[in-house]
Amino acid sequence: MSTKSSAGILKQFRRKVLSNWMLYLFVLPTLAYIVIFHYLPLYGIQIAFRNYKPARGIWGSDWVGFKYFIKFFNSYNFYEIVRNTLIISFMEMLMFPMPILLALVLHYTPIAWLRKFTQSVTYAPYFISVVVLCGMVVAFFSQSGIVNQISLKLGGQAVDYMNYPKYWRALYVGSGVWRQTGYSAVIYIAALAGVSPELHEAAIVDGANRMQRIWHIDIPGILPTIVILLILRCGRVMSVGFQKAYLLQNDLNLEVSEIISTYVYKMGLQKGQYSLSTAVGLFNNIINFLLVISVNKAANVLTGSGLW
Amino acid sequence: MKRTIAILLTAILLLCAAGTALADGLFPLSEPMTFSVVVKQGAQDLSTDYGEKKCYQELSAKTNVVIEWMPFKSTSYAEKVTQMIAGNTLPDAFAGGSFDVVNNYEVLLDLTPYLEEYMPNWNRYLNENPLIKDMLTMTDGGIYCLPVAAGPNDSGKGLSIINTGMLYVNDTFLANYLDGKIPSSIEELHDALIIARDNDINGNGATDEIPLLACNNYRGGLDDMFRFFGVPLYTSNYTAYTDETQKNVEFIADKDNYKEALTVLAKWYEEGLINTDVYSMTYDDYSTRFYEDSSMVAFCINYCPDMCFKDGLSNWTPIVYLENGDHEKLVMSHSDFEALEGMAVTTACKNPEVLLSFIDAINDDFETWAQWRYGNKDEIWCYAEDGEHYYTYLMGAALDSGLAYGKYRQTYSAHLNGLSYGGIYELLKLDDPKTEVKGAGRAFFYKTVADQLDDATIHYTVVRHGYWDADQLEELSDKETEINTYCNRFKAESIVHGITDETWNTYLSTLKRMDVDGYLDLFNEYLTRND
Repeated sequence: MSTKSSAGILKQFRRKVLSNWMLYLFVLPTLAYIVIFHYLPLYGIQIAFRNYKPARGIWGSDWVGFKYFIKFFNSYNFYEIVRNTLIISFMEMLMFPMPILLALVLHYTPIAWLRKFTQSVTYAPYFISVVVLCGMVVAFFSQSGIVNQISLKLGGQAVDYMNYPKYWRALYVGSGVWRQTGYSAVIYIAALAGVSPELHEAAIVDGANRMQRIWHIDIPGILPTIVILLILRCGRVMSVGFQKAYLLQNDLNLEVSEIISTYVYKMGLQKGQYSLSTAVGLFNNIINFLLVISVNKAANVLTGSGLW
Repeated sequence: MKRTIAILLTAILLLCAAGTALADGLFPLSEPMTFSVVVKQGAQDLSTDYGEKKCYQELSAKTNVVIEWMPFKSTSYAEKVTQMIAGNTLPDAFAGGSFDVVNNYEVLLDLTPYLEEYMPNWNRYLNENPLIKDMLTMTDGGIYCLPVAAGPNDSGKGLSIINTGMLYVNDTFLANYLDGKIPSSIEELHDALIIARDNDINGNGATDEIPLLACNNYRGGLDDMFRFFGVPLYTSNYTAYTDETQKNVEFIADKDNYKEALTVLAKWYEEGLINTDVYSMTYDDYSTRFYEDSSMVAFCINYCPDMCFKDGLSNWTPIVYLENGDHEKLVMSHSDFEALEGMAVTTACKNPEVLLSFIDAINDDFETWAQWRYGNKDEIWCYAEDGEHYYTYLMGAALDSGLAYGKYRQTYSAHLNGLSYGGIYELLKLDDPKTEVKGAGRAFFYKTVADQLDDATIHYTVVRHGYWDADQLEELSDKETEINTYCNRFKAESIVHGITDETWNTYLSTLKRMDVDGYLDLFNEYLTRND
């Protein structure tokens, strides 16, 4: 009976595929891409449990169990670098509403040219490479940089911001906001365009002001988008970008700027300890994965929206 | 006359290198034989095709050996080499080092069976330098790579010293404000720095003077100042040999003179005598400052001058050391070689004896060696008139090129890739008047440094090279990274934000917790592993 039913399901599936073969054909490249570049390389995870030597290859390297995980946990600065990573990540999370606010501002800007101009100006920094961005940050905030020049003109004092750990996180997160906000706002602008104008018309008739319309119509309208992006963002909590942190790092701000990715770069990649790098990467991804599941569950309960 | 002397010199070197491949008739080959060699391209090497280098073309024509050079930029060299090893796309040889020989020696050829028969020059060199040979020898007794050799320092006293980063004084400032008298003590330097701070030394009316300019991202920045306090600190390496045997190290960053150096530098920083961005400035910012205008800088800490700057620092004079109370007069110098992993032949090479003979032939005679080492004859080096020496400086086409000495040298020579060994410094003529053109060559600085050495103690930098058990090396390397990172941090914080007894004591107790003693034990065990 069950065989018959299975055969029936298979037949039905085949019929569906054949009748929509063009659609499946479109999906095929994406599917191939994900399988080839995202699933097949997963076999490399075993490097974290082996004493990987390139000359022997993955399969020829010796198994060492959790040696590299333990090594990471026992490293002298483990707590400091995990703490730094989490603090920066959560500070970035706090900036999560910035693109939403920008999208709302742009959405409600009545002058078309001003809206387009603002969007272009805020979008442009995204195309500046991280290396150039960091060079700009260092130059602007140095002792003789433009920020100190302005400060001196206004009667303030010059401060070499890169010499003080207390400014580093703000510079890191702030420069990220400057670079990313315009780009990240695009998806919210699109989502806002999808909110039914009839709702706004009805609200205006009912006497709602602009803030009330934003709060009661726009925000709920784009809430599923916000939730999905927030869940995806939570999946990167432990993965603070390496490049910017490394480029803005110096010996004076190391107590706040040493994060997991820079540590892995120094201990793992620069010294050719690929197993350690893989172990830390795997550890990060497991934490990220658990966070995504938890936040998704929470989002489902609280808002009814989620990734699945 | 010159030609006769050159031939004579060549003949002497040829005799020394008895039994070379060229002499024994292996070369020229009847048919061209091609090899692929991955080479690390130096940061200053502007060449676009390694095969265009004259030194290679001449030797290739003599031997019929064709090399397909695969130059990788030094910044990505190690990663690309690892990828090639992991992907089993091995070339015939790697030249340029910086790859993990300990963990990859299985894909490299043991050179010991070839040394005597096919590499007589290298064989002799290694036999004459047992310490280097000892370091090269793997735990299984094999030698899997050649070193990047700088040659013995005793014959070239002063020559490797300037490679470490050194204090320089601006000649204009020296003439205008110090009556041409180079500061000879730490107190005199302090006074000179204050003069630079309080005067408009570049005469532009703005208070943009930098008494002492250093960049931590370049050759250790202020690290060179520590030796004036008797601390043999070299680019953030906090261990030093205890004696000339180079078999024992001590930790230097917990001593009283280290604290004294930090205290003095912190005071100078507070007094505005050191650039505020010493720890945040990038190398590009630093070199740009010299390229554009360095007239506001009175003193700087810099690397070998001809390598970095457009004018070869022609307006700067090195200060080898300063008197400072009872502190030992120290100068730092490279050890006998610069890096361990120079050139290695892989197991993919089908005719290793031919390739190794070709590599060895680079050292057959003086002219070939000099072309590979420095670049083209009569452009960057030529014989001195006495015929017994040579000197190096920019001349002819090289001078017309507008390139700094170092850039020209790297672009037209094969530079240091373990293909040739160094050490013919004793033949360099330092007092030839032609070398006394600042910025045109390195010899002038060699001479200036050598003249100032007097009774200074040369302290060789600790080079943790040599093979050992992979796990123990990994443990040593991990400990070293953690301790050095912490010491770098404390050093920077102390100089910029000040040092107190409380911060010093916390630092010492942290070092204890980081198990510095264990690190030293492991290090010393490593240094005596073959005894």
